[in-house]
Amino acid sequence: MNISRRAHGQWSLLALSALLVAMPRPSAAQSHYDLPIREHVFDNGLRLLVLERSRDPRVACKIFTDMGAIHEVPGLLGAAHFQEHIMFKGTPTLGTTDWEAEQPIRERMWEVEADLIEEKNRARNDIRQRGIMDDYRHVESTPGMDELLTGLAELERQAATYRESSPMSKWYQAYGGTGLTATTEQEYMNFDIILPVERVDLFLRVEADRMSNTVFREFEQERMILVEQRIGDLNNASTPYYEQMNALSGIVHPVFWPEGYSTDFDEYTRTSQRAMYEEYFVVNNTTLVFVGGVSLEGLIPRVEHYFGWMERAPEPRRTPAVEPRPGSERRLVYRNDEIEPRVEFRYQIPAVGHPDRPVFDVLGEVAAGRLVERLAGEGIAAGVNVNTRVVHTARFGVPSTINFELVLLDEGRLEEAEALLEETIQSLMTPLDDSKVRRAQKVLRTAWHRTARDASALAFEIGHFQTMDRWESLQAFLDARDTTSAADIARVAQLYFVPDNRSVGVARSRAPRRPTSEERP
Amino acid sequence: MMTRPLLIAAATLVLHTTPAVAQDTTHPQDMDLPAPSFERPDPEGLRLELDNGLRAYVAEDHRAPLMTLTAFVAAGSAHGEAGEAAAVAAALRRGPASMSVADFRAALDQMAAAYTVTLGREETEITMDVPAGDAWRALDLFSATLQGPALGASSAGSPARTSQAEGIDWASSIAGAIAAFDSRLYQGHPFGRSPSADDVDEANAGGAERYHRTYFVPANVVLAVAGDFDAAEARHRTAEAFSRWSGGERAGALTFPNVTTESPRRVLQANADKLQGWVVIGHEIPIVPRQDQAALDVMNYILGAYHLDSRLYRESRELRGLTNDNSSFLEPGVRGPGSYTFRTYGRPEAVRLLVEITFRELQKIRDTRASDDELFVAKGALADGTYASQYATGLDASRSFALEWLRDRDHDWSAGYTERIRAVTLEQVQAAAQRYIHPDRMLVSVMGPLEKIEASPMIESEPQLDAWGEIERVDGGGR
Repeated sequence: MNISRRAHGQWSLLALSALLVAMPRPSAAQSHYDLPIREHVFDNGLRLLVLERSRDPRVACKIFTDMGAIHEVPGLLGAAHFQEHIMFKGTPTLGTTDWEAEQPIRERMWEVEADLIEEKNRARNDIRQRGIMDDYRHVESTPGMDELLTGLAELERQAATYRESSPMSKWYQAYGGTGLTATTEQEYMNFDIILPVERVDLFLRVEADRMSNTVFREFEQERMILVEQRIGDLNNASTPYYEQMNALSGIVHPVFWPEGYSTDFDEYTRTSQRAMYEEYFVVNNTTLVFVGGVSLEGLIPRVEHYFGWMERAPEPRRTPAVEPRPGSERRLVYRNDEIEPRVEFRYQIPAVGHPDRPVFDVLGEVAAGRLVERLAGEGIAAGVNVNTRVVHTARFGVPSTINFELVLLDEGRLEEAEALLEETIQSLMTPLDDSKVRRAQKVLRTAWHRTARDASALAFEIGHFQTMDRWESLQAFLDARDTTSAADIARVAQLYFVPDNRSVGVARSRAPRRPTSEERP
Repeated sequence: MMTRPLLIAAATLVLHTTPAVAQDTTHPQDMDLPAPSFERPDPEGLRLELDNGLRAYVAEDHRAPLMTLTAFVAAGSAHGEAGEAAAVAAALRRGPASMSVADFRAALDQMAAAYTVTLGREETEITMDVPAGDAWRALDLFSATLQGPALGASSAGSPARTSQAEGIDWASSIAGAIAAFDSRLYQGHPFGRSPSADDVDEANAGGAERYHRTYFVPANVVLAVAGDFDAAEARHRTAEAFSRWSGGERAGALTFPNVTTESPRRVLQANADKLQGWVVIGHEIPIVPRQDQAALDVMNYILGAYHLDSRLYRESRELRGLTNDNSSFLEPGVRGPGSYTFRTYGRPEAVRLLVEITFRELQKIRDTRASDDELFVAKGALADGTYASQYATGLDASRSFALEWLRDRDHDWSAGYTERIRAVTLEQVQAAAQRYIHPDRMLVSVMGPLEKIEASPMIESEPQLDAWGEIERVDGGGR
């Protein structure tokens, strides 16, 4: 009870902290970062961000859409990622040998799929097929569904005779594009290419087309590729553990949901994907980012040419989910013989925009070093992993956690490791030696510079901050890490590292316990 | 280079007044996209040659306040006796003999340095990346480590010892199938060495010192120095740090014997209780004569080079949804054999068809001409993309030139590369396929849930794996 009251009292300080602690910003002369990002927002809402490196012969080009996995709904998890795959399939002017012939077949497919959805809904309601368990249904399909699916497959086969595969990739590469990829994160999707600066128009032409005219080709093939990617993840024995930890760490917010279950993949339809596409892939929900040998002034008319015809669309919906503050400590015991034994503490922390957020990067670096030292001192062989990652990337947006993980060689030392983790985190509540803070800051600064050296990685960070908060936050965030003090670290540790704000994960083998190294022959 | 800003400014004036009222969907081939003006920098402008024979390429790179030092050494695990190269690599990781390991680690830590030692079969690469403010301190430390690493320590705790003790999870990825393939291809060859911890310990008794004395000499090493510095100062500092490095002549270029796979084919199978199966198909590739390289690169690009528009990728992934990837890996050696492999993976029911499709495409590119479109795309991708990227920044150029000098002792290859690529014909592409792809003597390595792979129903007309050669069961390491 005492702990709970104390925690409650500390939580109540958070809002006050946000109001009172101004994010310290060094003057431009003091800053270690040179980020002359320039912005232009077009009348239709399209945002253009440019960081010019005039000597670069190539330019990293990225288009960010403010839409990701947090806009999915249960039963259709992974749909945002699937949408990214479908958006590689071309348009009426890219990816077909004869759109006039292909188009009526594609139109017919929409009609057949509408009938299929109706038949599927009817069957579900008639036979109460509501999903008893993930691997059981009263029946898998009905004769009507089978017939419609066969019809869809036949139409796809007919349409495929006009298909020209990989159209976006093909032409990007033909004109010197490298680093072609796309990413779907929980809050955004982006398509990337690095081009010779003279050919930046190709990016604008292709991406304007992609965001307005995607044809949903090779739908079933991509469904299976998503399955492949998912089972690839599941081949790693630690994936289910992390998904369980995510589910424990957050109750409501979709940021904690996994990338789709096998039952979800069956549910994607052209119709559900098109709804997502039409709502979110609109010009006023889009940011273009360029880093390299281009200028804002040079790009504005080119972007206007390719995107200026688009009209501002209704504002896309945002997930209304707000993760409630944890009311108690949560604990996961994950029993599995294939993954290394481990213990992990996760604490909810605020996102970018809150003045405490940069402090956690410094704290994490300090804590990692301290954990390594203490483990060595105790003779516990373990890997240390301190991060703010939930699924893929370090979290900057809505709700975030800081994760302290120890991966052990000997399961027999799990309890000791957990105690050591607890003590180490407690120790952060008293001010540290300043030299440790300065070292952590140098490590973070150098890591950032390694990112910034790479034009594509830098463009990604700019878009990442823009879609999760605002691009202007980036420099302030980096500067604030450099001005974090030992007292700041102690303060946030006291505020956030309370038991009621904690999720604990323990992974261990199924009984009987695995032998320790001393016990092994 | 001078005209580009002017052109952009002119375009700005014209286009700013004419916002588009309709979408421009001009096909990329009709866009009149200008040719890139980028030209590879002149290596002579970056070259630094010391009296002791050491060559460096020094390039300013002001994208971030960092400096990167790389030493490429023309010796790897295939040189010397088994274990010697690994012992030297371990010593390089411990730092210079003049410092304790703890002091070396502390120095790296204070600089927030990224420091790696990568031991290849024919070459070794040592890289130190530090903040520009620590550049000259790092340069001295780097130099001291290269010239006098802490040889002679026990291998206890070394990577070789650790991996022996813990084992490798071969079954978790395509690494197992690759290991099985390599192990068989290079069986009994210096490229197939996998030294034990005992070998390393034995080398530490004297062989490692001999290896270092033989191969870590200025004439056998090429440096790449790039960063946020003034080039004149960096050249001066580099000369200061390395001019007292003495050593013998450049070790005579060692040419390694070729290897060959056999006909009829062999299928190596390793069972792994996983959700997917992994496949490596391939054979050796001899040293590629310079006159063949451009056509081979183009052919490989069309067939399967690691990108999103190759034949293997399209047939396996885009058109059938069988896998997330099917790509080729063209890895010729420098003075010895290399390998040409085709790698893919997928759910158990897809594995047999993936093997079938791969062989089908290998045969097809030998038997038929590629299309004009394929040739156009490959040439653009290689000349304006891959090649240009290798020289686009100071860091890239310094590393590329250093490697060229290490391997060829000239820069002719890169000087004429784009012209050679542009000149490749469809006939040469097919000839390259016929010369360098031999489906009849491929080694096939499959790791995964073998019973499920065998029991899966046929999707098209794919046969069982034993149709591709005599089956041999191995473990994930190829034994």
